[in-house]
Amino acid sequence: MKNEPFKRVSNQIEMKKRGKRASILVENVVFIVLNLVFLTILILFIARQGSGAILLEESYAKQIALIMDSAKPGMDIFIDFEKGIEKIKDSFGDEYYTNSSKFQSTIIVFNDNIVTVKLKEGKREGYSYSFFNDIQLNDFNYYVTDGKLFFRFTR
Amino acid sequence: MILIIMLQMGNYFLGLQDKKAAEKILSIYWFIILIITVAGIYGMVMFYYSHPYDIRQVEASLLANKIADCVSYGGQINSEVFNYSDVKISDEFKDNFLNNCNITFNVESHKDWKAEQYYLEINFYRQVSDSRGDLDKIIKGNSEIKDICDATDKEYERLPKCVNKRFFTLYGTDLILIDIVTGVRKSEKNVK
Repeated sequence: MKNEPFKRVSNQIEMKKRGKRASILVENVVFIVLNLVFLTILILFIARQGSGAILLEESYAKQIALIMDSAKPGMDIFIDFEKGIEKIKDSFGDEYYTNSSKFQSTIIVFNDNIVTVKLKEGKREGYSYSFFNDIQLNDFNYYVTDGKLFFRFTR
Repeated sequence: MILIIMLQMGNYFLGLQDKKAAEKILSIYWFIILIITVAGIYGMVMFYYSHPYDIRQVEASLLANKIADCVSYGGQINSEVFNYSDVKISDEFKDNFLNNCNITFNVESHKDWKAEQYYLEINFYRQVSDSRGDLDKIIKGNSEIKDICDATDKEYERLPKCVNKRFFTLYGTDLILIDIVTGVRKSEKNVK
């Protein structure tokens, strides 16, 4: 009976200590979680910037223009088109890269010696770039196969 | 947005826990560092991706290769280049050079493009022992490009890119030196 007040005080001290430990733990967990969220958003931002439709359109249009400039009859040339397919899927739908005529009339369009690439649906006309090789549309064929953009130059 | 939330949550925790002043200051500094990091990375990413890919040097090089393949093939000069009577470039070949070599200087419409965006110059020299005699030359495209394309300083990177290629070929038993200069402007689409 004599020790009862001391026990009560001791219990109170113990609880205070536990409360303090718990609060430190929560603070650290919240701090780490917030940092992880911050880093994730930062990485997502950088990744999205690098694979934006506008950037890809420019990149593909210039690559294709260089392909057309260096093409010779009998050549088969293909370039990686995985990122382009992802954009087409999101914006237009699967048939716009599986169906050659839709692909050639909407996504990658040749108008004389000017190539226009459009990966995002909307009012924008896409990105156009010219090439100096005076090659005709019936001199080559192009389509998407196995994640690649394939060019076959016949004449 | 996330930074504002983090800042508010940090203040909430600081106020609730009644921490030491030093810890509060450290926490504020931590958020300042985060803001600086975000601003820095954002700035660098935007700076990097806002610059277009510059392919003019490759274009000029490909143009020079195409011309070389057109005027000479397998070490012999194209039979259509010179007149048979004298070693001068045939007028037909010279006048229709772009058609003969399947080259077009048409470009997409751009508000700042008034003149042609390409230039090519082919000089033919006859090599006799150590001396070299001018034969003829073909010039097509925007000749202003030639005048300014030699500048290589960083401050001139908006200027056209040029490529110079030269090689020997045979015309019968005569040795002909062909010197090709090509230039591509298209600065607005390749440089910011």
